[in-house]
Amino acid sequence: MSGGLPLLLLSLASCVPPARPMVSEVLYDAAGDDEGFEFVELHNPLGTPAAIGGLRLESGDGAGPGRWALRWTAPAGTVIAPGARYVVGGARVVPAPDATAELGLQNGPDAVRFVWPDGVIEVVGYGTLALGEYACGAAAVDAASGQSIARVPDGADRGANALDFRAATPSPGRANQPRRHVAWAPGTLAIEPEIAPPGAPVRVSGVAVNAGADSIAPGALALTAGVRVANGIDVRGATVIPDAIAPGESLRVEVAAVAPAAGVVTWIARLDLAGDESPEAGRDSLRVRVGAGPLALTEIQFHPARGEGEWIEVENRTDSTLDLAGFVLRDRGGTHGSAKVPRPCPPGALALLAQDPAALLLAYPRLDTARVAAVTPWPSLNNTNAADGIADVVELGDAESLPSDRVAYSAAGVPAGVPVERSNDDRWRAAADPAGTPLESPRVPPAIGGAFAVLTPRPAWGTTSVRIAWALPWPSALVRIDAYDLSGARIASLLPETDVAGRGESTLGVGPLGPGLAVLVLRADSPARDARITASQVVRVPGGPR
Amino acid sequence: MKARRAIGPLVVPHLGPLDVPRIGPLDVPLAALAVLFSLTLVAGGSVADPIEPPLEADPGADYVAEPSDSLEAGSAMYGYGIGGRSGSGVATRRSFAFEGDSLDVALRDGDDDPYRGGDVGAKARSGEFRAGRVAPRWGLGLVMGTPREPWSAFDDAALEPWAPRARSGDGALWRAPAGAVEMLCARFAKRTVTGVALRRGALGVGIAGRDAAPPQASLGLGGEDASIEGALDRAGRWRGEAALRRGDGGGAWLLRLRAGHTGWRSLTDPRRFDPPALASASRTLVAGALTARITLATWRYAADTVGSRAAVEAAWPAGGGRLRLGVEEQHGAWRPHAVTHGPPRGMRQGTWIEWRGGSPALGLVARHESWGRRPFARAVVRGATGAGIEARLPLGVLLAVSHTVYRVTSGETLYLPERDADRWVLRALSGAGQRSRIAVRCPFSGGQADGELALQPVRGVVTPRWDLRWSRRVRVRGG
Amino acid sequence: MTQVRATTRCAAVALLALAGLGARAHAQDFTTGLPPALCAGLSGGRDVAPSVALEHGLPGDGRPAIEASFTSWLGVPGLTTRALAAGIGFGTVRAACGVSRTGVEPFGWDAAGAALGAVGERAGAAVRAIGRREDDGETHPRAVTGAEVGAGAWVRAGAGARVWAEAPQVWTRGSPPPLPRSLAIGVVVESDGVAAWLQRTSPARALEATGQHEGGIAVDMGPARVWLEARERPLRAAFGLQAAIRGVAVRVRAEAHPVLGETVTIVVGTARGGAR
Repeated sequence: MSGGLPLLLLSLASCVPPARPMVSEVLYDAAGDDEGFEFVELHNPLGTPAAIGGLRLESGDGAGPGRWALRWTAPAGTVIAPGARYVVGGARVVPAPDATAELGLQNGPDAVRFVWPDGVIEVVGYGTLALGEYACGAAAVDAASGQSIARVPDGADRGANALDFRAATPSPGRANQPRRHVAWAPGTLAIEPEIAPPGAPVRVSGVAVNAGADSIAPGALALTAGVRVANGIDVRGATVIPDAIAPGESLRVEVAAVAPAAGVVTWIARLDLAGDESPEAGRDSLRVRVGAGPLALTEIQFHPARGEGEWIEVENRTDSTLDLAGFVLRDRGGTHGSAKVPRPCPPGALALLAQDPAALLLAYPRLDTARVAAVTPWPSLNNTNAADGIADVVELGDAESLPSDRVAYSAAGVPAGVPVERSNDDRWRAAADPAGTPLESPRVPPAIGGAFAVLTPRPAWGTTSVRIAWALPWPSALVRIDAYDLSGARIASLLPETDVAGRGESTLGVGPLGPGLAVLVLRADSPARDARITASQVVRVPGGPR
Repeated sequence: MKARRAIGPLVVPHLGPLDVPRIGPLDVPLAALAVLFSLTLVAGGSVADPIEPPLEADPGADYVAEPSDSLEAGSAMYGYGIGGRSGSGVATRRSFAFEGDSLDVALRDGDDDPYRGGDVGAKARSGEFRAGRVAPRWGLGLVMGTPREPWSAFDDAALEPWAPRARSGDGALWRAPAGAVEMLCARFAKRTVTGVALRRGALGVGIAGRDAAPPQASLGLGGEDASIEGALDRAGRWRGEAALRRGDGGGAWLLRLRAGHTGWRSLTDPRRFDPPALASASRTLVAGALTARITLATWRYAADTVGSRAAVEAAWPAGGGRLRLGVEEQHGAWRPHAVTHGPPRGMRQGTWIEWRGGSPALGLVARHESWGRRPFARAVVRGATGAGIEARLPLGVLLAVSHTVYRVTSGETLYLPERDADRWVLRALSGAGQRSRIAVRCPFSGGQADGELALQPVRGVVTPRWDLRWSRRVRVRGG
Repeated sequence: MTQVRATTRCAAVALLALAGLGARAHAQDFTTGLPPALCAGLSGGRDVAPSVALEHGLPGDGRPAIEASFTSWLGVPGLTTRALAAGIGFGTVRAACGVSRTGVEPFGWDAAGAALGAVGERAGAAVRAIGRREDDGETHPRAVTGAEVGAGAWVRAGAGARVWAEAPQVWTRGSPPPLPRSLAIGVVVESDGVAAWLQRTSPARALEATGQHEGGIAVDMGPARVWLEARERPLRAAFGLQAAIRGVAVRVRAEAHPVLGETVTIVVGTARGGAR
C-alpha cells in the first residue's frame, strides 16, 4: 500500500495513470440498438509498447455505490504498440475491434473503468453522477445517442473527465482528433443561385472546419465542385483556398462553377487536404434543380391595399397540366403551405395562389375562378426589407421538395399596394399597373414623350375609362390626377394621391366627368417630396350620362 | 259669388305663375282671370314655398292635383288634348263643362287622367242634387272631406292647386237649401260610403258609414273666425280639431289644434293617415312693403313618430319685381313610418330665394332652393335652381320657357310644380338632372290652343314629353 | 351722378344675394372676352357683341357688327379657338351668326352658330343654336356631329340693375358639347360708370353637388372699360380690357389659373362710333 498513496495523490491531479495506455474513446449509446456497436478505445501515447494483459474493463451503474460489472479482461500477452489504439467492442463495430466483447454499457449517467492488475484504476464517467466513484473529477458530457465521448485532443489529461472528453463522431481505432483533417460544417453547403439555368455560372460554397490538430497552411486546401454522373463526378469548378485555418476554426470557402445541363442534379463539393487522415468527411453533396422549374413565380402581391389578401401568380412552364396542390409555397422563415384542393394549371397558363381567394375575386371580379387556389397555411410575406435588403423570399417547392422557383424580393421603392412582377428581362420590379395584372402578362409601360400621356385620348363611344402612362425620373412617386373642364373649373379628382412606380401605365375611370372635353392634370411628387412635376393632357370623354 | 271655372296663367315650373301685368292680345276676361289668379297666388304666399304633395300621395311619385276648374255661370267649355312622350303612344284627354243657373255638368276623360269621370249638378228649390264625382266636406274634414296638412297655414290658400280638397267619390249627393240637410251615397276607394248631415246655423252634425267599418259621427261648429269639429266612431276612436283665426292681412294669425285616437281613419280616404295630434300657429306681418309670415307646427303620428317645422318667409317689391326669401327647418317625420318605409329623416333646413319681374312683354323669374341636413342648409340633400321667361308675342301668343337644374340625393325627392295644359302636376325629381319646358298659348279657332314640350334627359337621353290642347268657352246666355 | 333710390339699393342688394345663392356659363365656341354680366343689357346694350348672343343667348345691340376672336385655353398647346361672328338688328329683333374652329386633331371641332332674339327697353331675350363637327370621325362615327340649343334673357330690375339668366344647352343632340354648361343666373348693378355683378351657375355634371359662383367689377375709364373677375373652384381671377377707337373695338381678357396655364382671349371687331 505504500506505493499506492503517491499514485493516488498523482491521480488527484491527473485522471490518467502514468506511463500506461489511457481511455481514448467510449461509445455507450449507439444510434438505435446498442448491441454490437458499443466500444471502448485505449490509446498508448507512450513511445514504447505497453503490455495490458490482465487489464479489466468494468461498467459502472451510477445509480448506486459499488455497482461495477466486469465486461472484459485483456488476455495475457496483449500489447499495444507505441502510439497505437486498442479497441474493445461489439461485433458490429467498424472497423472490427481488436477485442470483441459485448460490453453492455449503461447509458448515462454511468461510467466505465479500467482496473490494472496492480490496482491502478482509470475511471471515465459521463452524465450527471451523484457518486464520486464513477468519475474522475467532473464527469464527461452525456453524449447524444450515436455519439461517443472522445478524448480531444488525443492524450489530453486536464484532471477531470469533463475537461478531457467531449462528444464526438465515433472513430474506433482512429485518432479522435487527426493531425490533419478538414471537414464540412454540417448543413452549410449551398449553391447560388439555387436555381440556375444550364451553363450559368454558380457559386458553390460552404464552411470548412479544420478538424485536425495541425493548422492548415495557406494554399494547402483545395475545393472542387462537380455533379455526380454515372461514372463519377463531372467537375464543374475547382479552386485553392488561399487562407490558413487554425485547428478548430472554420472558414467559409466557395468555388465558381458552371451549371450543368438542365435537370435535377447532385452537386458534390470536395475539400482536398494533403495528408487528411479522414478525407471522406471533406465531401458533401447538394441536390438541386438546374434550369427552370415546372412552376415559375411571375407576380407577388405582398402588401395588398384593396383587401384582396396576399397573392402570388405562377406560370406553368411545362407542356403538361400541373396540379397546384403538388407544390409547396414557402417564405424565408420557413412557413410553408400548399393548396389542399387539386387545382389543375394547363400548360403555359397562369394561376394564382391566394391567401383569401374570395377576397381576391371580390377585388378582381373578372378573374377565372378555376385558376385561383387557396394556400393554407399562408406564409405571410413581409412588407419591409430586412437588414440584407430583402423583404422576404418566396419559394415554390415541388413534390420532391426541390425548388421550382425562388424569388427574393425587395420592398424598397415598391409603392404601397403595388405588387412586384417579373418583367420581360427576368427582373423583378414594381408592377407597371398599380393594380397588378393577376392572370395577365405584365404590361410593358409604353415609351411616352414627357412625364404623362393619355394613351386613348378619345375613347370609344360608351367607354368610361382611358389608359394613361407616366414616366417620372424617380423609382416611385406620389401621383394624383385631377380633371378640369375647358373653363378651368375643377371637375373631379380622378386619382387621389397614390404611391406608384416611376414608370407605369394604368386605367383611369373618366366616367364621373361626364361627356365633354377635360384637361387631366398629373401632379407627381418625388418620394421625399422635394421635387414636383406637373403635366397636363386633354381627353375627350364620349357621350353618356351627365 | 258664382263659382267659376277659370284657366290659369302659363306657369314656369317650380316658379309659379308670373305676376307681371298682362294686357293685350288675349281676350280681356280671360286675361283678367289669369292676372287675378296669379296675384292671388302671390298674395297667398304659397307658391314660393317649397311644395310637397298631400299625405295621401305616393312618396317619390308624380302627383296630379285634383282639378278645381271653375266656370263662369252661363257658359260652357270644351277641351280636347293629346299628349305623349318619345317612344310611347299618344294619349288623349277630353273635358266638357257647363255652368248654368240650375244645372252644371263637368266631364273629364283621358288615358292618363287620374280624375277622369264626371258630375252633374241640378239646383232647384228643393235643394241641390249632384251625381257623378261628388266631394262632400263636413266641418274640418275629419269624417267627410280631407283635413289640412299639419304644416299648412291659412285657409285662404284654398285656391292653391295643391291645397287638400275633399276627397271625391263616385255617387250621388243631395243637399237641402242652405245646407240644412245633406245626404250622400258614393263609392270612395272602392267602398260605398253613405252619410247624412244636418246643419243649423253654425252647428253641424253628421253620421257616415261604410261597409266593414264602424260608422263615424261628426259634430262641428263653424264660423268665420273659429271652427271646431269632433268625430267619434262606434269603436270608441275619436278625433277633434279646432282652427282659430284672428285678423286679416297684416297681423293675422291662425291657430290649429288636433287631438285624437291613433287608429282613426277617414272613411272616404283610408290611405291617408293624418297625425292624430298637432298644433300649429301661423302669423302674417306687414311692415310697409314687406310681407312676412311665420309658421310653427308640430305633430305626432305615434309616440316615436313626431315632426315639427318652423318657417319664415318674407316678400317685398324689389327692382321692379318681387323678391321672396324664406327659411324653414324641419324635424322628424313628415309621414308615418308605414308610408315612408324608413326612419324619420332627421333635421332638414332649407332656404329659398326668388325674384320675379320684368316688363309686360317679357317677364323673368329666377329661383333657388336648397335643403341641407346640417345647420345653415349645409350638407345639401336637395336643391334646385330655375329660371324662366314668359313673353308676349304678336298675334296674342304667350310663350313661356323655363329651365331647372336640380340635385337630389338618394332617399330624397324634390317636387317641381308644373301647370300642364289642363291640370297641375307635382313632378317628383330625384338624382341629378335638369328639366326644360316650353309652353305656348295662342288663340286658335275661336278658342285657345296650348302646347307644351318638356325635356328631361334621363341618363343622358332626352325623351321629350309633349302636350297639345285646344279648348273653347262659349257663353250660352247673355251676361 | 345717377340718383339711386333707397328701394333700388335694397333691390340691388337683394338681387346680388340672389345671384350669390344661385354661378358660370363659360364660352367654348364663340369666346366673347366679356363676362355675361357686361352683356346683359347693361348701358343699353352698347357693349353687347355678336358673339354674346351666340354664346350666351343674350341679344346683341342692333348695329351691324362683325368681330374676330382668338382664345388660348388654359395654356394647353393646340387648345385654341378662332371665331368669326356677325350680328345685325331690325327694330327690336336681333340676329347673329358665326363660325369657329377649336383645337387640333384629335380634339378639334368646327362650330357654326346662329342666334335670334329681341330687345326692349326693359328686357331682352334670345335663342341660340350651335352645330359642331368634331375631328376623328373615323373612330367615332356616331359622335362626329352635335348640336345644342339654348336661350337667355335679361330684364331690368330697377334703375341700373339687370337680372339675367341663360341656359345655353337646354337641348343637345349627337356628340355632347365639349363644355357642359348649365343654367346661370346673375345680377349686375351699374352706377356712375362702375358695374358690379354676381353670377351663379348650376352644376352641369352629375357629380357636382352644388353650383359655382363668380363675380366682378368693371370701371369705365375714358374710352376704355376694364374689369376684374373672380371665380371659385379653384379660385381664379381674370382681367379684361375693352377699348374702341375709330370704329375698331378691341377686347383682351386674361384669366390666371392656379394649376393650369392662363386663358387668354383677344377680340377685334367693329364698334359704334366714339368711345367703346
